[in-house]
Amino acid sequence: MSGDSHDHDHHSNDGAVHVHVHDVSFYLKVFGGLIFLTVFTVATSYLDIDGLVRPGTPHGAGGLNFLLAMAIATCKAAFVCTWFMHLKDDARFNALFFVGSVLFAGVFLAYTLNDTYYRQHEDRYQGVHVDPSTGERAPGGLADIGGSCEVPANCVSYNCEAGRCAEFVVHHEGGEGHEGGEHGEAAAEGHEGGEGAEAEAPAAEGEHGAEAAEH
Amino acid sequence: MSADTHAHEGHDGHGHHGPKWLQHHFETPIQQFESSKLGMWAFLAQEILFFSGLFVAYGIFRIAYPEAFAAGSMQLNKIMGGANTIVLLFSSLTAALAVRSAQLGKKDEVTRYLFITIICAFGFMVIKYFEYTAKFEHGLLPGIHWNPSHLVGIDAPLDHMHVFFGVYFMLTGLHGVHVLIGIGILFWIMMRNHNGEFSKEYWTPVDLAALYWHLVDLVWIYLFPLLYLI
Repeated sequence: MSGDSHDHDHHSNDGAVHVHVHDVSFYLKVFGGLIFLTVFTVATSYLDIDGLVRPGTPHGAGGLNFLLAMAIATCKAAFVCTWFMHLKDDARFNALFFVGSVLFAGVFLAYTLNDTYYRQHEDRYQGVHVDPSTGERAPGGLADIGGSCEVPANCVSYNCEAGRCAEFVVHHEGGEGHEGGEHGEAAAEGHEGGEGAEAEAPAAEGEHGAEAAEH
Repeated sequence: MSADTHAHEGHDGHGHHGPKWLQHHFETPIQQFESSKLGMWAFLAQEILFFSGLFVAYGIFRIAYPEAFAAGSMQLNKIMGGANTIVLLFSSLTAALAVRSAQLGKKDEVTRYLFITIICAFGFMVIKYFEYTAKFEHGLLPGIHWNPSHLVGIDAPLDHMHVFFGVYFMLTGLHGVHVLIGIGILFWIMMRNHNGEFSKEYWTPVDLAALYWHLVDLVWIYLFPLLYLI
């Protein structure tokens, strides 16, 4: 709270709001810094920094351009938060709140990327796929990240992108209706609804027939 | 509101006549100020998490399809994006200066600075409009609308390139919505200031509106390199 000008000269226990008013020139300097960093980041985007540091690296493969751009953006964000948004002058608790949200966004990003990036990848230390209990690739993730799309034997319609089975082989033998997933349950509900068994069976078959034609 | 204040003064023990902008559940102006600020920062923290979903989507797809993202980024105009960055940074400066003038109780200056901020916000939307129109015309749209007719730097569209434009339109679209809401908030505060609601003692709403506007700027500070400068 030291510096150029205060809007109150009273003692600080009078319950009024006392803030440090910065000079216009101070805000202009912060703005100048922001503009400089903007021009700088655009300029560096025309350079192939990976190629300069280690000749022969494909453009962008080393990630140095990306790291520099993010470092500059973070500098700019820090300028805006600290001075324009007055976090420096504010109660520290506000800064804690805000920085906390950024950290949690970081946790969200890190854990999600760790998950999606390593799905389907073989764990080279253990020689198993990510899902060790089945020995198959863990469901989900993006099909294009390594590996091929293997359709499980008990699956009629397999969604490779989602890595899950949309429709399992249906066993019509008694008691196994639930293996049919949604269809099995639908049939069971129909039964409870009191409809005749003769009417139910052809209806269910017709439904499967229509879906098979779709696939 | 004024009726409330009177009622409060009636059974107020310590003989202070609270200013009419001091809500009855706060003891002192500083308590009201600190509470308002913390509330606003909690909202801004929520905004960060709100945007984080799309930033994570960006991360996942960029790692999955790096070439498509680089090629998609090449279709964007760095100069227009850079110009918009400078427009937003300038509007952030004028918003900060509006708060400064409010702290000093200079009403007309506050109106002037907020007006410049709003003009810059419209300027941002105009540049964005030209960018979006170009993308629409060139068929650079996400999903089933992907029908590229004009490509920069590459001969043929790459697989998954439409995913980049999906992320681009969602991120810039959500940001654009924030700019439009920001225009509304700044205009509202400018009118309240014009009507003389604020003073050297009470300028919290100007501060909070400016905080919202700075957040819009913060998000763009990251969007610009992530989308335009790959």
